[in-house]
Amino acid sequence: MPASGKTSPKRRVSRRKLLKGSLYSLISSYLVPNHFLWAAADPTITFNNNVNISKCSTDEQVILNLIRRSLTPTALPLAHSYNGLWQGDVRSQIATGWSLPLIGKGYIEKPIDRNTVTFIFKANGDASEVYLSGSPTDDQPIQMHQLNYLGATKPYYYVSLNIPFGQIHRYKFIVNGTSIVDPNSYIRKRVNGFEWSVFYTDAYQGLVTLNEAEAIFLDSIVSAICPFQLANTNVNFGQTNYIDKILSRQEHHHLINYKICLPMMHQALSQQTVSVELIADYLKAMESGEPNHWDYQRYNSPKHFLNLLRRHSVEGSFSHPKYGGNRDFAGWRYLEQQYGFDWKRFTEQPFGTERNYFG
Amino acid sequence: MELKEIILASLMMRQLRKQYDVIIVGSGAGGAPIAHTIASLRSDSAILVLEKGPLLREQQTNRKSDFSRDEMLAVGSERKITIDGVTNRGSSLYSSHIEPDINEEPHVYVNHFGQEKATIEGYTAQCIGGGTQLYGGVSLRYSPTDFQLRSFNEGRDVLNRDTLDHIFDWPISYQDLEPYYEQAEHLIGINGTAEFQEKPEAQFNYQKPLDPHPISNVVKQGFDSLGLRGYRTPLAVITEDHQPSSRRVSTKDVVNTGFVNRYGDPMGFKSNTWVSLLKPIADKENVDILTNSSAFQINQKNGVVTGLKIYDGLGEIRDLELAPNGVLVVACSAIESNRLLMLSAGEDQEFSQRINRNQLLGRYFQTHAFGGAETRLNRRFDKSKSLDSDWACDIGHTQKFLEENRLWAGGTIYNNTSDQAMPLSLLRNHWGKDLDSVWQGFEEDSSLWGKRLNQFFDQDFGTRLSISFMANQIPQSQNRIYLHSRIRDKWNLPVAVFRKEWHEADRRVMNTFAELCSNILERGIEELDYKGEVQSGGVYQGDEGNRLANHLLGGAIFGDDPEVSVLDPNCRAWNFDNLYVTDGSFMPTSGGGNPTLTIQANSFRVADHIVKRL
Repeated sequence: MPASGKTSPKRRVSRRKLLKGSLYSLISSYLVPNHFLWAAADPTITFNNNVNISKCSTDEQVILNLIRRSLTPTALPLAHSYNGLWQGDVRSQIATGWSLPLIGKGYIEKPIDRNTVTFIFKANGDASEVYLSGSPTDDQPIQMHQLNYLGATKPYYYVSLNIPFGQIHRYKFIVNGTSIVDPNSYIRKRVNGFEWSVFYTDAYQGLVTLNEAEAIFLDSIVSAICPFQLANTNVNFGQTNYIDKILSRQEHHHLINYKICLPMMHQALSQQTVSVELIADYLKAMESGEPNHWDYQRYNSPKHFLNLLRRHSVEGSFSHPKYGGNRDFAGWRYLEQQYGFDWKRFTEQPFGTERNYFG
Repeated sequence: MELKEIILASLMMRQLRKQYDVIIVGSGAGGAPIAHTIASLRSDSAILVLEKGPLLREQQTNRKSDFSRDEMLAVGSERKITIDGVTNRGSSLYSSHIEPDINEEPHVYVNHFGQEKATIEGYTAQCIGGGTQLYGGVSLRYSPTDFQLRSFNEGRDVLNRDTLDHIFDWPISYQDLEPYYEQAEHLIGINGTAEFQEKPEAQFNYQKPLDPHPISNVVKQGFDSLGLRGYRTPLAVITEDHQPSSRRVSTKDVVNTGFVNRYGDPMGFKSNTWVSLLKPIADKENVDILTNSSAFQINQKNGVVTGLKIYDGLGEIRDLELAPNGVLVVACSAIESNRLLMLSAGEDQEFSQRINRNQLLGRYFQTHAFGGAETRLNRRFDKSKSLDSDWACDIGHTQKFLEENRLWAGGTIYNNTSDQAMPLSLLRNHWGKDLDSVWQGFEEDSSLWGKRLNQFFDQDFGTRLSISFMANQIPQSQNRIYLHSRIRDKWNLPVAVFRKEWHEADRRVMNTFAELCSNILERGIEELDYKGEVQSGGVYQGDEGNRLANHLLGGAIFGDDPEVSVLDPNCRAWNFDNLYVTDGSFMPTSGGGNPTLTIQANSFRVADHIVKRL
């Protein structure tokens, strides 16, 4: 195999294959694509449309839980500002803002592969007309309901939609005729020059925060950290997808770690064909030595980043597939093959065999 | 959606009454038994249960549960501690989906050197059902001696006089509480066995336990080999239909899933106080349950509580009013209950004079002397087919054991079956880390990736077995809860601080029990011809003085003598007519076992007293 770093066409990894995890995992070396770009470029997102989406009733207890957790006033204006990074942004004032809109479980329907997605908007001041519009509604505004709490109407507006697993959507609120992004939710993207709020449902497999090049490179690193393999098959466990997802919401504060460290690692490893062994050597240097091309001015502890990679990789291997990793339960199937872990017994149908638990 | 579900949903939203006869702050082990009793006996009394957290529901016919078999719910994603002035500012923080955000509502632990640290240890869970939603369900009774440890130690030369002066007998005996233990076991739904418990002439109300997990046989063999008599650990999990709460067990196959301790149960098998006590009364006309609402000030006049101020579900301040002859019950777990009393005292000088007359409020804060032993066997088991514990033993409560080992008090030993059962819990609790320190062992063991990670799973997945003890901790006056002078919560209210240090006698208790736990495992391994190296210890050995096992006890202790207690024998605050505290705060000594069942039994007892005065 040439050690030039050039990519032979037949081994070039397309994004489609990466995400489906088929051919990609069959190769033993990870070749870095020629078009490797480390610009802060966002991934390209193709939004879903409103196929199989329906409006549904909202559980008001869920609304109340969400408000109490994330939208009640706080005397600590910077509590969630990531050490001042989000200073001035309303999201620095709320806990778990990443959970808006709420990607909730639905009632049992057939097919059952849906989330009940609940949108909520807190209006300032007097009565407003609030609508939701975006890809889930085919850009047709639908009116949001005003909250009634303990016998009085309150300036909170909400609506719920049943949306299939694995989709990504853009949306806006239209408040008294003016359209705005959701002020509290984390993910925003520019589409045709306009900014939209974005959410995805459980087990979404497309990229949201990392671009294609970053994801391919990260996948090779994750494979060295978690060298799990299912017998007689080469499936991708989906850890990179998990990481892409957690960096978009719950651990958005760690995105900067990846954006700084992955390019340094890439620079060190891109001079040659990157085998699993070479990556392992580099990770070993991160663990206990001085890795090549590491700019300590930019990031003072390679070990710290290694620890982050390690935790995220194992979480992506074994957390429930709804979080984007453990693809097709590959992590749990691996434990079943190796150690007799009977995960199907406690897992809902159709994935597992448990008939009484709905998931 | 079932009809009953509709009722419950609307109940949370309907208008509040102008006045209530009984307001209960907290819906967990201390509060729910009182609501249940009064609602069952007095249809003319208007009852309000106030809960700071949400209502999270078990699965209904057509409805998925708000809980899941999902490891990321027990320990979620990472956040950073952003509170100024604590030593762990900038450190990682992990919590379950129903624990509060520590950055918004911290507890602060102060160690021996005066260093302050924000901690998750002092919370149980914030939701309807409180800590009983997340606990492992271990539902032990205390032993008769646990109620009278001062008397037991008078005339022995185990403790010096100074220490003994701070140990108080409970104003009630085991016999006084025994009928309420029975009542609690019946209404809550607990499985276990009675034989070989060191609780003489007791009636127990247990459902039949499931077959023990095969890995627990090591512990059973260890017990037998040492001549110890084990019984099946009483667990608040139903294994058959439970008539008092109308719960059905459709299949026994998945009562035991390994998603036990720190997980809410989506199926409603775990007997938390929502499914067992509150849901059965929730659709009664005279019962209101207000979720997501927290009390921050108790109003009183001449020692009579007239109402309280709360933040409602939208964060707006509301006044709740008690009817004449009404009663207020505070049961929001010890640290928060003490804090509520202190916040109220800060706003009202008369309240302060009444509650602080003897300066004892907040003192004698305790958890347990706890620890254990663990091993890695050369056999593998599927630990996902487990409940929290299979076997328990009361040797540590016997007179002979306490005398032989010169211990001031006893404790219970039981094995842990479900810990580290799942892959992520195995990794994040690596090296015995938990709660505040979760994932730290994994990070410190920095070579745990690549081939070594495979080797780790080969050796550790399904092979780890631990055994614990839960024993009395010496009550000390300087171990206490108080308000922080500077750090405030999201409502701009002072947060609670706690100090907790070990006494020399605690170390002795922990060493003795840890050694016994170690022996049990070693003998069991030997009997079965397995191999496995055993490690043991007590919690004091790590630099983890804040470890509480989520057992929050003391701070407002009850007693016969108003000079040395905060509450009277009925858990009513001295110098108040109608203010009761019924979570773990009331305990003058912490008991030799997990405290939940005793908190519940005591609340049933106090409820009988309250019913009579309504």
